[in-house]
Order: sequence, then structure tokens, then C-alpha cells
Amino acid sequence: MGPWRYVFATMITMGLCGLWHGAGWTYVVWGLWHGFGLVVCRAWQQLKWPLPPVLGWAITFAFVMAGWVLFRSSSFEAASALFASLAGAGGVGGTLQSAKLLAAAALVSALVPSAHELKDKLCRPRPAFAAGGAVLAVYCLLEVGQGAPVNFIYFQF
Amino acid sequence: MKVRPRTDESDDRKWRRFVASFLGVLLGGIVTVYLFVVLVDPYDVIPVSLPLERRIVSISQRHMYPQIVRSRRFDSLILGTSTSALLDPALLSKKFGVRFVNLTMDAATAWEQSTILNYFQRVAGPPKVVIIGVDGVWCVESADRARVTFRGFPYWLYDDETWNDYFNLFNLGTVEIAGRMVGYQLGLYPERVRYDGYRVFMPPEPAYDLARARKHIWGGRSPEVPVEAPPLPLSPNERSTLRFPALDWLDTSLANLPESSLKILAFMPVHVAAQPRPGTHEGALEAECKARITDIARKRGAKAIDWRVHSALTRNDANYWDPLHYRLPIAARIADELQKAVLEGATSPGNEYRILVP
Repeated sequence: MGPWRYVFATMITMGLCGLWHGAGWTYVVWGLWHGFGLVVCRAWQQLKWPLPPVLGWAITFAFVMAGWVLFRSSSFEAASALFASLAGAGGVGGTLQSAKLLAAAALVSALVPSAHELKDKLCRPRPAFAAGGAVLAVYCLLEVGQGAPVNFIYFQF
Repeated sequence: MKVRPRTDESDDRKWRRFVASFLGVLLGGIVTVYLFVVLVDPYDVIPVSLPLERRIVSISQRHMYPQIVRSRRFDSLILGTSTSALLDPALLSKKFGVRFVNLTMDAATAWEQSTILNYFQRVAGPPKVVIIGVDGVWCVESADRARVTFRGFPYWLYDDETWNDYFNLFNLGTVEIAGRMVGYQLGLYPERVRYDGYRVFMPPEPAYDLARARKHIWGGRSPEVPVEAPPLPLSPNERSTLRFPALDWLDTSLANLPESSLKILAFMPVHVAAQPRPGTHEGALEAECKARITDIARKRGAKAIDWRVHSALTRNDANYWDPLHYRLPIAARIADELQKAVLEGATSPGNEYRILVP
């Protein structure tokens, strides 16, 4: 696959993924933000200039956190205000809440294999997985058959 | 930029088998579950289902009632919410000399009640006697906007189409009830509701505890001695703008019944704690709605009897489990008074009910 084709496919896919999370422009830009991250990551890997793992982790973490600001903001104005506050526009302060919960979550994220790793390990063409997945799919179809349409609540265009 | 192929040839074969297994189990699962549901047919809607003795194994009244109606075992019905659920159809059948079924539903909206009445008439013919246990749901201003409850309403079971039944059977709820139906056939699961719709949904009478009931009735408030205040008149302007959309359905449903049907509107005796206080605006609204229901009854040849009044019956906490639900002996008493009021014109010596339209 040529590089431009990869860029195009990734940006379209991630833009749509953003839209799937919510029908609002902030969600679309959030998806594109991740597409941009994937493209840069891939290009960097092609250069074969390995980063120290801690630095790579810190950049990825900050990148994803910046994305969450966009994700949880109701508008671009709100996101700008949040970014400005994070940069210290409103002064520096605040308190750390739920420190124990945060510590537990940090431990889990550091020690438990990522979903990506689990997928690579577990998602093999085993017949038992196929059967289990199919049974789950039948269950989902039956659940969908219950009806009761739910209104789509995310329209924010 | 080149992408490394992720799988070799043997992996490809494995993935093909994986997909084939997935599709095989998926299709096999769908067919098996569907056949199970169609053959057991817990709602008795499929012509080719197994010839089982289908009983009411679920308390999902909205789903189970249509088959009772289609059985044509009954020629008369009781409608209403849970406030009329304890009226025993077997008892009323003896008193009126007909075959009653109790099709009241928990929190039944006026729309649902009208739908059931129309369905009964369409499928089982005009009822000999219909008793509508009237309460607040007929006077709700938003009745036409909120026609059903959060429980949903299976319209497909109440229409005259058969083809849509085949689609609607494929869901978890139906599978569960079909499982119970099989359990019933094997003697492992009991009938949940008598086939004439009667079910005592309250704890057994010996478990009655007045102190506990008072907590439910008054909700932590101190019991109030009702003050007899003069009714608050509504302004002509307010009267003309008041909306009771459900009363149009009541009027139409009653108008569609032949003269031979004995039509009874019975306002159920909820506790005074659940009735509007006299002399309040709320009380005036209820009085207006009641007056309009009485007019409909008069116009459509129905009888109307009102237990929803402040009386010795509705003031006595010991008659109730909670503000809406009276106890079993009271249900038997109402059935008795209903028969005497309707068939003999008997009035209540203690003014515990009023005959609004004889």
C-alpha cells in the first residue's frame, strides 16, 4: 500500500470512528486527531529512529489525553478554554481526587496486557472461538429482537 | 511503504474454517432457537405449533392476555389497572351469570385498556358484560402523548395480521416464556396466573401488618383527618380548555358496543390519601373529569358507580395495603356491592358508593 493511500484510508477510517462515537464535529475531529497520530507514528517507524520507551510512552499518553479534552467538550470553544486552563491560563491549582482509584487504574493499565496484545495472543482461528462468537451473536440478535428503539442522543451538529 | 502479509497459506485455511464454523453455528443457532419458539408458541399465535395445553406462565400481562381472549372461553371482561385486579372473575361470573375474564393490567393506560376492549370485541364478539375499573389514568392530560408505559406494548399481538407474529417471536423474552411453557408441560414450572386472568398480587392476608400498611399509605406523613370543604369551582375559561383525551377513546369504545352489552364504569375505591383533597384545584379537576365520564356513561347507556369518594371505606387504613390497593375481603365486598347496585339498584346505606348513572 502506498503511503498516501495509507494516509487517506487511515484518516477516513478514524474520522468515521469519531463520528460513530457521537454525531458532532468535536467527535469527528477527535477521530481525525487519532488518525493523524497513527500516520505520524507509522512514518516515524519507517525512519527507524527508535525513541527511548519512556519518551515514546509519555508522548503517546499526552497525545491521547489531549484527544480526551476534545472528546468530552461540547464545542470547540469549550475545548479551547480547557486547553488554555491546562496550559495555566486560569492559574495553577486544584486538588487530586480519588487518589486510590487513580493509583489502582494506573497499576492495571501498566501491568495488564493491552487489548492489542491480548488480541494478538488470543484471536487465533480456533474453532472454539468461532463457536463461542457465534453463540454470542445469536444472543445479541435475540437481545436486539426485544425491540424498544432507543433514541440517538448524541446529535450535536 | 509495504505491508507484510499477516497470514501464511495454512493460516488462511484455518481462518476459512473459522469463518465456516462461525456461520454454521450462527445459522444453526438461529434456526434451532426459532424452531423452538415457533413450536412451543408461548403466545399461541402460530397455526402450526405443537398442540400443547398453554397456560399463563408469565405475569407479563400485555403479552399473555391476547391468547386468553382468542380462546373465546369468556364472554365478559373486567378492565382497569391493578386497582381492579383483585375483582375475582369467578365470583363475578356467578353473580352475573356470565363467564368473566379479568384483563386488568398493572399501570394500564387508558389507551391500553381501550385497545384490549376493542380487541376482545373483534375477536370474541361483543361482551355480555364489561366492567371498567375507572381510575386516574382516564383523566390524564397527556394520555394521547404517553399511550403506553415504559414496559412497552406488543401491538403485534393485538392486530389482525399473522405474518408479523413470525418476526416478533425471535427475542429473549419469548425464548424465556417458551422455556417456562416447556417447564409447565414437564411439571417443573407452575401456572403464574389463573387462565381467567385472576392473580392475587398482594401477600397472603395473614401477613397483613397495619403499621406497615400505614407507612405505605401515608408515606411518612402523619395521617390527615379529611376536611369536608366545599368544591372549588373551575372558571368557565379553564373548563373549556381542559383536555381529557382518553375520554374520547372511552366514548368511542362504548359507542362501538351493542345495546345488548351491559356496560359498567366502576370508580375504584382508592384510599383518601391517594384522592385529591376536597376544595383544592386538583379536586376540582377530578370532579370535572368524573362529571364528563358520567355524561359519557349516560350517553352510551352505561351504568356508573363511584367508590372513589371519601367514605368510611376509603378512610379506614385497615382496608388497604397501600394507598391504591385494598385487601381481599374488600374486593369481595366490592364485587357484591357491584352486583347489587347494577342488577338491583341497591344504594349504599353508609354512602360508601354512589350510583352516578343507574
